[in-house]
Amino acid sequence: MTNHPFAEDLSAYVEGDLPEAKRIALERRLEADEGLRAELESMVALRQALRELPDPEVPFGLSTRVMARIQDGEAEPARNWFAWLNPSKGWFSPVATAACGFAAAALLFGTDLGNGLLQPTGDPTQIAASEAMAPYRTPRQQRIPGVSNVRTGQEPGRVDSRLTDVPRATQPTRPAAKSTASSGVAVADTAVAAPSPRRSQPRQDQAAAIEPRPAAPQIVTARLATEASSMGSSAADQVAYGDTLEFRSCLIASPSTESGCEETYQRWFELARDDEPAFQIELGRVPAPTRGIWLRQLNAYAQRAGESYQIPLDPTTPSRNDVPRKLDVLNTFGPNGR
Amino acid sequence: MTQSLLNRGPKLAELPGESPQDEVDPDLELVSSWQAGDLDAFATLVKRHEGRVFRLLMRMLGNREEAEDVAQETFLNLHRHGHRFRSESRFSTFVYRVAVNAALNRRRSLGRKRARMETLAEKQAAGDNLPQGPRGPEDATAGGEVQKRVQAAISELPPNLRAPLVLYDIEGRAYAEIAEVLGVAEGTVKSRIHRARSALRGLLGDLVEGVSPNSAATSRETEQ
Repeated sequence: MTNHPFAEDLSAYVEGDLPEAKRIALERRLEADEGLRAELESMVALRQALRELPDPEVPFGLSTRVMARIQDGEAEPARNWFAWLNPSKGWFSPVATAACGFAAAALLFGTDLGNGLLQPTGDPTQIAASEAMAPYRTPRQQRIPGVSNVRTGQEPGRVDSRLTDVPRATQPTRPAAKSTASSGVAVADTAVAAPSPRRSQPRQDQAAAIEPRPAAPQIVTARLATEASSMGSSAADQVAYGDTLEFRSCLIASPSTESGCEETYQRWFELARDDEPAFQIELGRVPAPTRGIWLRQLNAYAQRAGESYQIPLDPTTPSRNDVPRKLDVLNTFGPNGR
Repeated sequence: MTQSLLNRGPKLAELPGESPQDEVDPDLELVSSWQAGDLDAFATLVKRHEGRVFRLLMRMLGNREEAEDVAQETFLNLHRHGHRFRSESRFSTFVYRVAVNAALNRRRSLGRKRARMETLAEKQAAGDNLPQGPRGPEDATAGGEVQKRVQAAISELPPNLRAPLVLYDIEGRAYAEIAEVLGVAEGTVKSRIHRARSALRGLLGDLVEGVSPNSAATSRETEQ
């Protein structure tokens, strides 16, 4: 048996699908072409044979067996985890949109995953607010707990010499730096601060190449002044953002008896005693559970220094969201963790 | 003459199971109940479609036990994934699609060796160790030999040709529905059906060469 050139047309002809003009032409050819006629007969015969195949008998009880298996739990409906994404569901918009929005917000602002994705630009107030939050973020780089990497307006990549003596968390016996600066003291993270003789030169270069976030201590100070004056104080210039960082480094990176921090303790004690609003503003920067450590440290200093004044352990401070993860780090490396 | 040839047998549109696309799906209400958790509705659907599914699988697989096994799997799969049916097509089309996929999966899982052995067993059961050998239509029609040979020849077709042939020529489904079941274009369906028929005619040899079994039988009766 050979396939005739018109076999496909024949197939359509048999099914009645051939257009009128083609059908007439094919029928004329069929009258004249015996081979084509035989082909047509063969097709019709095959179609007939297929249609006359007897229907196989359906096995008795097929549906009963199927239902029994279903009732035995063999075909639990599959969960459609992505059904909520289907736009045909009426609740797609509110749920999916809210979920996506929440995830995006958490990514960019609420977790460390988004740290650095959005740098504040433009409005100095926003920059100041962002930098003010810096000590309470956990950056990608490992840092000395409780210490930020605010810089003091030096050339980028240069490390403040005053920072070189700041003890690292892994070297707790080294004394903290004495600082007389009243503003803009920078305390660096492990990437830029406290160069160790054990470090190789390439690592230092690499560390220097990692530029910390740009800071604006002057702006923060200005904001503090604004806040302090709004609280009825004119002594905002007595404290600066860098002081806070230095104080924290003394509390965390060196024991409370460390003489290197005595001057820092003294300044803060005076601030607490003489200018309570400014002190409270600074205290408000610290997560609430850590405030107790600060205050106990200051009271311990006051006792050592023969001061009769004691700072209340639960003074009224501006409200602030606590950062428990930060506290965990502090407890690990801070005075309680040693 | 040609018209008389074409008039043999029912037209496809007259075959049972051929359903116009614009008709309302008769299963729609039951499907809604089932999707809402009514198991009795699903039992009714199974009862309603088990015949078609089993017939299709029997043609596709050529083995009764295998066909029943896959038919059960088809309905279990249907129950598992019923939420995917969106009433965009007829439920029967959806059932066919699940059944064809189950049959194709089963064929793949059988492996070549087992498939060859089955084919051989089928040929032996059909009494035809030489499928292309000459055999007179008189002998073939006796005792349902024709049907056995036709079924054996269908089993030899590649699965991608077998499914459209069975759905169109035996089950009488429309081209558009077959295209939907197989997930291919309508033109592809027509082309595959044509190729399947050509292959079948080659496999069946003289059985369909120039004269149909029925016409042969009729002529024999006339001679007697």
